[in-house]
Amino acid sequence: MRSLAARLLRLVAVLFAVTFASFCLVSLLPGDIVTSVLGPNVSEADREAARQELNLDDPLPVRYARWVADAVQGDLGVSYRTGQPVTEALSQRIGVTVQLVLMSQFIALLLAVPMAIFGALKPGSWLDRALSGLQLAMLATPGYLVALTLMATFAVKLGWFDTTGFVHFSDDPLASMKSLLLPAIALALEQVALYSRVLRTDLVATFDQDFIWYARAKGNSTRRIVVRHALRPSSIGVITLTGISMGRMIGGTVLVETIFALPGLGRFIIDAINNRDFMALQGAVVVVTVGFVVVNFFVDILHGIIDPRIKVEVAR
Amino acid sequence: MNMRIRSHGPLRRLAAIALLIGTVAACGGNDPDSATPTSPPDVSTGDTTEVTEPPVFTNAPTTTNAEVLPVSGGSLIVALQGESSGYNPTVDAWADGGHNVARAIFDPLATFDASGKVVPYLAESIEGNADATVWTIKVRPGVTFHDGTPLNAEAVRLNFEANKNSPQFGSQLALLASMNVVDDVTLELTMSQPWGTFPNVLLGNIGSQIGYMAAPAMLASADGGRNPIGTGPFSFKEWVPDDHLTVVRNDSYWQDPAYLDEVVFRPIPDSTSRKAAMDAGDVDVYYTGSSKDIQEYQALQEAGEVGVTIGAPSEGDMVMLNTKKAPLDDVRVRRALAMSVDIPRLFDFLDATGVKQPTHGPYADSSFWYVESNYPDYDVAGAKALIDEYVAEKGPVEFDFAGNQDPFIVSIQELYQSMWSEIGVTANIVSRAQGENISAVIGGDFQVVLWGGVGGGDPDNDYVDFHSNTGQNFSGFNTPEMDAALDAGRALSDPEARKEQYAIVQQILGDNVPIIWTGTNQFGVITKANVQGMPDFDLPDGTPGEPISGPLFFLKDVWLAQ
Repeated sequence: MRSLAARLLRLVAVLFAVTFASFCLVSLLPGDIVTSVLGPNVSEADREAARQELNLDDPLPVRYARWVADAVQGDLGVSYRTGQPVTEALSQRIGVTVQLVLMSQFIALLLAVPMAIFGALKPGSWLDRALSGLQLAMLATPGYLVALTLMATFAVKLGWFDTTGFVHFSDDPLASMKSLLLPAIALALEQVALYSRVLRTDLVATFDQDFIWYARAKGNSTRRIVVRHALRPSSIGVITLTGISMGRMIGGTVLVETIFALPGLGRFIIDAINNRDFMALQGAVVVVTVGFVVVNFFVDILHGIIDPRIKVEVAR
Repeated sequence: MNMRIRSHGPLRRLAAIALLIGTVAACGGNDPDSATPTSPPDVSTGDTTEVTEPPVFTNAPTTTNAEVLPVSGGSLIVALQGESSGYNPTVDAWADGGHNVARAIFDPLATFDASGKVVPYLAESIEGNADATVWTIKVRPGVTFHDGTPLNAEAVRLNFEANKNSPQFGSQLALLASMNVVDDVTLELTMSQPWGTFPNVLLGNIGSQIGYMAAPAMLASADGGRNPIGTGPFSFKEWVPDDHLTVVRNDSYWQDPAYLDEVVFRPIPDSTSRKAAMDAGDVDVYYTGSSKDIQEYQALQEAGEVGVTIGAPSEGDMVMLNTKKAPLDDVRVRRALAMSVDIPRLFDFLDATGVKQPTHGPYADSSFWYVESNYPDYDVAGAKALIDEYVAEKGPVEFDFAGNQDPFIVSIQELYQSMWSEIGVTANIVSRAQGENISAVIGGDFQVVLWGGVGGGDPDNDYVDFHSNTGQNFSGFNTPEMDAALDAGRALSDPEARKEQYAIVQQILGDNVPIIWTGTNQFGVITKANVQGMPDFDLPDGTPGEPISGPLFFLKDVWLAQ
C-alpha cells in the first residue's frame, strides 16, 4: 500500500511538472488566443479588453496558480475559444480515444505475438525472413496511407464499414467497435512490426536458456514449451513497449482521427495548440498525463505478475 | 483547418488573391478545400456563344420526373469541410461549414435572387434613401425565433448592436452611425457617409455574417454560441464538436416548413475521406470546388446515381497584362492575346468542361451585373493580323509570362504559350515561388501573369482592382471615365442605377483588354440520387433564389424521395 501512496504522490508531482511545462511552452509560442478568437483585423483596444477579460496580462505563475486552484476542485475551466467547459469537452472525447487505443493495441498484439513466435522458433529460416520483410513493410508504410487504403477498400468498395464517424459504445457496443475497427487497424499495423521484433528477439534469447533445454529434454511439445515456459519470461520487453505506445497514443492519434473524422483527443489538442487555447490544452494535458501514469502502473503490475522478482518491489 | 476570413478589408482581398493564384490549380480542381470568399451571381443557364460547348451551367434538377411531388420526412446527413468554434453569428467567424449550419438555423436578412442580385429575405424590405445615407429595414410581421420570442425591429437592432460591438465584425459596420426603432417592424439605420452596398453585408456569406438574425436571449447568453436560436427552417437540437450537429424541423417556420425531419451536419476535415464518405453512401450531401471531381460526378449523374447542382460562379481565372510595359502597352497586342485563347481547349486541359463557364469580363455572363462589351471573341486569323500589324510597326512581340512554381501551373502556362505561338507571339515562362510572384505583381515587376481574385462578386468589390487611386490596380490600366463610374457606383443604392455605372466599366475593360478573362470557378453540391430539391431554393415571394453561392447552400426546399 505504501508503494501505491508513493505512486499517487509521484503522479501529483508529475502532473504539476507537466502542466506547468505545457503552460510555459504555449506561452512561448508566437501569437495568442486573442488573435484566434477575434481574428486579425482587430483594434489594439479590443485586443487589450479581451486580454483583460481572459486575465492574459497576469504573470504566468499567477495564471498557473489560478488554474491549479480551480483544477484541484475539479474545475478545468472553460475553453477560451468555444466557451465549452473543458471537462465536458474532454468527457466527450476520452471515450473515443480510450476505445481506439485499446482496440488498436489488441489488434497489434494479436498479430505481433504469433508472428514473433513463428519467427523465433526457427531464426533465420525462410519464414522468419519473410515475416521480417513483412514487418519492415508495415513499419515503412505511412499510417495515413494504410488508413486511406483501408477506407477505399473496405468502406467505399466493399461497403462493409462506414467511411467516417463514431458510434458511442454506450449507444451500441457492436456498432461502436465496428466504427473504430478500420482506424484501429491503421494504428495497429505500425505497432505490429515493433512489438513482434522485440518479442521475437526476447524469445530467441529465452529459447537458449537452460530451463527451456530442460523442458525440451523432458519431452514437452514445442507448443507447450512456447506457451507455458517461454512466452511469459520473454514478454517483459513487449509489455513495456506496449505501455509506452499506449501512453503515446492518448492524444497522439490526430492523423487517424482526422482521416476518419473521429472526435478524439488528438484533434482537440491540435486545435487547442493552434488557437493558443490554454484552458483546453491544460485539460487535455492532464488527461494525457494521468493516462500515461495509469498505463504504466498497470504495466508495472503486469511485470510483477510475470516475474515475481519484480513483484516483490511493487508489493512493498 | 478552418479558413477564417473576417472582413471585407484589403487584407481579405489579398488573402483571396493569394488563395486564388496559389491555386489557379483550383481551376484544375486540385484544391477542393478552397472556399472562395465572395460569392456572387447566378445559376441560370449561361449565355452560350459560339466558342462554348452546350450550356455550361447545368444546374440540372436531380429529378427527371416532374410528376413527383415533394414529401416530408427523413433525415439528411451533410458532410462539412470543417468544424466551427461555435454558432453565435456575432462572435464566431465561420468558414463554409459554419455558414451551411447557420443557414439551417438562422435566416439572413438578405440573399441573392437567381440572377445574383441582392434581395430582401428575412427582411420584408431593405431600402436606402437617394444618397444611401439612411437605410430602412422592415421585418415581416409575425416571425418568431425558435424560443417563441418575436423577430421585431428591436431584435434586429440588438443584432446590429452586438455586431457593432463585436471586435470581429464591428469594422464591417464602421459606417453605421445610429439606429432608430421607428415602430415594431421598422428599423432605421443612419450611416456616417453614403453606403450604397450596405445590403451586401446582410447576405450571410463567407466574410459577412451580420445578416443572420439571432434571438436576443441567445445574444445575451454567454453560452449562446453552443445553443443557437434563430428563425430558420430548422432548430438546434444537439452539438458534439468534431462529431456532429443535429437540427430538427421548425414547424412554425415563417415560410412553408421544411420537408426534412432532421439534418445532421458532420465535419469531415480530410478531403479524401469526405469524398470517400460520399462515394460509400455514408453522407447524403457533399460539396466540392474541384472541377475534376464535379466532372466525375456529372458522369454518375447521367447514370442516375447522384445529383449534381453547380453553384453560382465566383471570382474566375484570368491572365493579367501589365499595360505599363511594352509590348502590352499596345491594345492591339492585348486584344490579339485574348483572341487566340481557345477556351474549350483550356477547359478540357483543366478537366473543367461542363463545369467552368467561359467569361468575357469580370462577371459571369449569367450575372445580374454582366453587360456585353467589345471584349474579343476567339479568332486566330484576326489575332494574327493584329500581331502582324504591330510587328511591322514596332518589331516582334515577346514577353515574360509569370506563374507560381508548380508543375501544374507551368503546364497551364505551356498551353497558353503554344496558343500564342500560333499567332507569332513568343511567351517566355517564368516560375516564381508564390510569395515572390505576388510581390512581383504588387511591385509592377511583370509583363503577363496567371492571376485570380478579380471580379465575380459585387462590382464594388473590384473598386480597388480598377480605380487609379488604389495600390491594387495591378494591370496599370485606368481612365478618368472608369474612375468616375466606379466612384458613382459606390455612392448609389439602387441596383439598376449601379448597374448602369458598372456597365461603363465593363465597356471600357472590353475595349481595352487589360485582363484576359477565361472561366468561372464554382462549387458543386453532390447529392445522393434520392435527395431532391437542392436547386429549388425559392424566395418568400415564390420566385427562384440562388440555391448555392460559392460553397454555401440552403436546405429548406430539399426533400427525400421515398
